[in-house]
Amino acid sequence: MMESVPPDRDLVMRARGGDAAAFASLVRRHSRAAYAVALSVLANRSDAEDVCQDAWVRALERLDDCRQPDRFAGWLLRIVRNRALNHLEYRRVRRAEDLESAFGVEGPPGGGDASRGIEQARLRERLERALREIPDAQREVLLLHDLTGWDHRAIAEGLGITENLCRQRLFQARTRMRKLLDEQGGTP
Amino acid sequence: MSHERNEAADRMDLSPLNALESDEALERFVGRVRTAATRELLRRQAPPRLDAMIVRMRRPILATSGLLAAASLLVLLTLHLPSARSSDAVATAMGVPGVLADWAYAVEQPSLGELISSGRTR
Repeated sequence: MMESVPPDRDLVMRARGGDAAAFASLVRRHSRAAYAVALSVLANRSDAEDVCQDAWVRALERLDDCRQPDRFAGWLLRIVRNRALNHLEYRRVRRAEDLESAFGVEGPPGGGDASRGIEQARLRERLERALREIPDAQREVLLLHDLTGWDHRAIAEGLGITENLCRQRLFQARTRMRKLLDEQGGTP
Repeated sequence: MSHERNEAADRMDLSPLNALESDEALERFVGRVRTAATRELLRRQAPPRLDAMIVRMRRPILATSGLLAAASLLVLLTLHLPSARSSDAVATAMGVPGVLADWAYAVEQPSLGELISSGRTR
């Protein structure tokens, strides 16, 4: 028998009372989308993860301000985007290192085949470089759709845009990304 | 429908960018967030303190105070201010000549002549 999935509203209510399991369920459910939004702003994996973690703690602290718990995702994504933009500003000010090292190369978790790891790192670097070249609004939709797997309806609701605009941005983002990757030497 | 299918087929493989792609990575992340949020979760589990309740109620309290202030201002503005005629009403109520009530409101004291003449009018 399938276990019923509690709606966001219930989980938010329980998390407000300090229910750690309910909070963990929210984190599990929305972290990939939150990460995609952070990545769309920062274009850096580890920074995006850090900002997401920070945004979750902040969201819990401000959970009483979430007026529409059934629209928790949109509310959370706004917090993530703001935290990411703040981090970007902080990084700009503190930038002592060059852009290349900011987009650091990380190996795959747990070691594994070294050559495959290097290949993955190169691919990641190319994708990150191409991502930086497309407008923020298109990047956000592209990552939510192609990285997180959200459909247009969810993205439109989460970002507060129309589904048509969402489709348009996705199309433009993919076209631009493919062109940029072709210029770099191949589309993933 | 076919448009959706085309779009899905056209999906770009961005998985190398996804730090939370695997379930293991996601669970590690959930664990880290839980640890970072422990203090706030404990605070929420504790019974509410009075000062925290007041802070939480700050918006309704401010809104109510604003409404009361506006209502009070409205009452003050529409209220009749004491006029020159009110001294007549006081005099009538006390059964004294109107001029005595006028003196009660006046800044200056009446002269002796005025006092004598007021006694005569009575």
